[in-house]
Amino acid sequence: MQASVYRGPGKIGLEPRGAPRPGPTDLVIQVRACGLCGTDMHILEGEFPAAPGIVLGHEFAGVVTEVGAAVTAFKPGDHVAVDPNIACGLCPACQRGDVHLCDDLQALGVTRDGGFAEMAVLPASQAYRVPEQLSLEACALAEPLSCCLHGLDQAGIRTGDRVLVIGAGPIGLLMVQLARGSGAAVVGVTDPFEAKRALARRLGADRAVDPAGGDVTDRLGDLAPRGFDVVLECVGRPATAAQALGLARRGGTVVWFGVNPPGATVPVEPYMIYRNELTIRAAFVNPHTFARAVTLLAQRRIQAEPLLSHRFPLGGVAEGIAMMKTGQAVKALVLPNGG
Amino acid sequence: MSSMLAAVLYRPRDVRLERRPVPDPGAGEVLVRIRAVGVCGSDVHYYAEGRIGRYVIERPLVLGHECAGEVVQHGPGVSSPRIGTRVALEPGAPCRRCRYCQAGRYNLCPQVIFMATPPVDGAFAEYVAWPADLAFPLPENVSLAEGALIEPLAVGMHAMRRASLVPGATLLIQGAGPIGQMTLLAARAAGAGRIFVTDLDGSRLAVAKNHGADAVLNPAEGELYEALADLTDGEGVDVVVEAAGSAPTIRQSLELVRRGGTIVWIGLPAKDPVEVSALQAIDKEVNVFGVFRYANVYADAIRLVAAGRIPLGGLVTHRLPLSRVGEALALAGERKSAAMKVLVEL
Repeated sequence: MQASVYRGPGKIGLEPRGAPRPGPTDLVIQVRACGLCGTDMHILEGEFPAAPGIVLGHEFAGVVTEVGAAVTAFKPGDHVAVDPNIACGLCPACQRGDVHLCDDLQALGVTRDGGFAEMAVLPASQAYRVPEQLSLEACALAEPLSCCLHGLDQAGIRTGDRVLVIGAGPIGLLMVQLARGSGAAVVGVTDPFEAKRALARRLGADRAVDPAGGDVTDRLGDLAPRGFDVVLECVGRPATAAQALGLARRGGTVVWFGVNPPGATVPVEPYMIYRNELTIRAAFVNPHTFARAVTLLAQRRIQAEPLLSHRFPLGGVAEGIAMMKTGQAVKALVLPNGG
Repeated sequence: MSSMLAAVLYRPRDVRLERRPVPDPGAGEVLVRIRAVGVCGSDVHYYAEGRIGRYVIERPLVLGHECAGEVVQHGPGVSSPRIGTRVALEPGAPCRRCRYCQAGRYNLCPQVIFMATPPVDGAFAEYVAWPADLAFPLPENVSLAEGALIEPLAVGMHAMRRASLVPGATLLIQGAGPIGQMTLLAARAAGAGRIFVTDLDGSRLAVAKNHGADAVLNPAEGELYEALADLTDGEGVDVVVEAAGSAPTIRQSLELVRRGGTIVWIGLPAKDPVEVSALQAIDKEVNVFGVFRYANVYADAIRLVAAGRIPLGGLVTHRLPLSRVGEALALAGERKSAAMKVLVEL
C-alpha cells in the first residue's frame, strides 16, 4: 500500500509500505478520510516532536477490512471513527481517570503510524462504530469534535449563557455549534476572514466580527453588556489569549483552547484576574468524549459538511498544509483511497 | 383602580369570580396587570382535592402562578422595570436572608412566599403586587403567553442543571405532560444527544415527537427495558428524568438508568412513600436528584426563548377568559390527553 511518511522537519512524501497485519486485539481499516490538523503542521515545521519514519494523520475514519483473532466487537465492513489517543491504563493519571494525562500517552499519527495511508492498524479499543448513513468524511471530524467537547466541558456553559468564540477555523466553528447546542442564548465570534465569519453565522453565531476592524468590545458589547459568561479562545496566539481575558464578565470563564507555540508567553495582569475572579481553563485532547462526539455527528446535532472545504489525494499532504497556512482552508481532508 | 376581578377557590370544585380591592404595591414592589396565566398540575390538585400534602386550603384562595403581565404602578423605592414593561413574574418570593437564599439555592427557602400556595393568593386576578426584581422584562419577540410558560420551562431547565447534562448525553424522560415536554425542550437546548420519552397516552407522545424526541415509547405496548437496550446498543441511558409522578415509574427510573447514571425525580407521586430497590441504586452507583421548583433560571430561560432556542408555541391547547377559570381547571384535570397546557387570558 501507499503511505505518506514523515521524514523529519519539512519533509513528507509517499512511499510504499507492506499491508498492515492485525495483532490479536487489533483492527485493520481502509482509511477513507483523514483530516489535516494544526498539529500536523506544527510537526512538519519541527515545533512538535514526532519520530521520522512514521505515518502522520490522527483524525481518521474508514471501513474495517480485517480483525484480530481476539476481536469480537467488530467485523469486516463496519464503518468506524478512530480515537487516536491511546492511554496506558496503568499509570497514576490513568488510574484516577485522567486518561488524557497518561504518563505514556501514545497517539496514532504522532507516536505511531496514523491515517495518511491507504490502510491503518489500530487497537480495537480505539474504534467507534458509526452508522453507514453518516459519511466517513464527516467522521474524520469526530476527533477534533471530541477535543472540543472536552474544552466545552471545561467551560461549563449553562443554558442561557452568552458565549464568545475567538477564531472561526474548524475548531471555532465546531465550538460555535457546540455552544449553541449547549443552550447558549448568545454566541459571538471574531475572525479575520469574511468567508469564515459567514460560515460561523450560518452555523449559529448571532454576530461575527473582524478583529482588525477596531475595538472588538465596541462591536460585541451589546451582545453581552457585562462581558461574556464564557470565552473560548480557538486561535492559539498570545494576543488572542490575552484578549480573551478582557472580554469575559466578572466571575466568567476563559478556556485557552487554541494551541500556542511552545515557549510563547502571555502578559496577564493578576490584579484584573483577582478583581474579576476569572477562571482560566485549558483542555488537553479528548478524555471520555469520543462516544459523545460520534453521537452528536450521527444525530446531525453537529454539521460537519460545511466545514470540509478542501480534499486532497494521499500525495497532497504538504500542499494541504500549505493551503491551511494561508487561512483560506477551513478543514482540509486527505482521501487516501480517492473520493 | 379600586377594585378588580379575581377567581377565588372556596372549596374543591367551587371557583367564584368576585370583586376584590386592587392590591397596593409595597416598598420594592410593582403592581402588575396580569394578562396570561398557565394552569399547572398543582392548581388542579387544589381545585379537585383542596390540598397537596401538607398544604391545605383553609380559607378562600386565588390559584394560578405561571403568569405574565404589564407593570402599571411602582411601589416606594422602585424605578424599574418601567411602567408599561411586559414582564414574567417569578412566583416565589424568598426571604433573601436564610442560609439557602444566601447560598443561591433560594428555592429551598423555608420562608418563601409562593403564589397560589395556601395561604398566599395567586394570579387568577386582574392585578398582582409583587417584588420588582422578580418581574423579568420580556423582549419584544416573546409573547405574554410565552411569558406565562417561563415558569414550567424553568422547572425543566433546573432539572437539567441538577443532572449536569453534558452535550451528547442520552436521556429518558418518563411522562409527556407539560413538565416532561418542558424538560424535553430544555434537554434539547442543552445539547442532549438522544432523547427518549415514555407515556401511556399516545397523543402526549405525539407532542413529544413534535418537540424533537428521537423515540417515544408506550409502556403499555411493550417491554421498555428491552426497547431501550435496543435503542442504545445495550448501553442504557445516561440520565432518567421521572416526570410522571407514579410509583411504578419511580421504581422504573432505577431500573432503566445505566450503571453510574443520573436520575432526576420531578413528578410528585400521588401516593407516598414509594418502595424502591436500594440494592439496585447501590449496585449501579446511581446519582438521584430531587428537583423542587428552580432557582436562578428565569433570566436565562427568557433569553433562550427570545433567541429562538426553545419553541414554546406548541404547548398551549386551550385559551379561556378569567370568568371561566373553574372550567379551565376542570379541563386541565379531566382531559389530560387533549389539554396539554390550558391558558387563562385576561
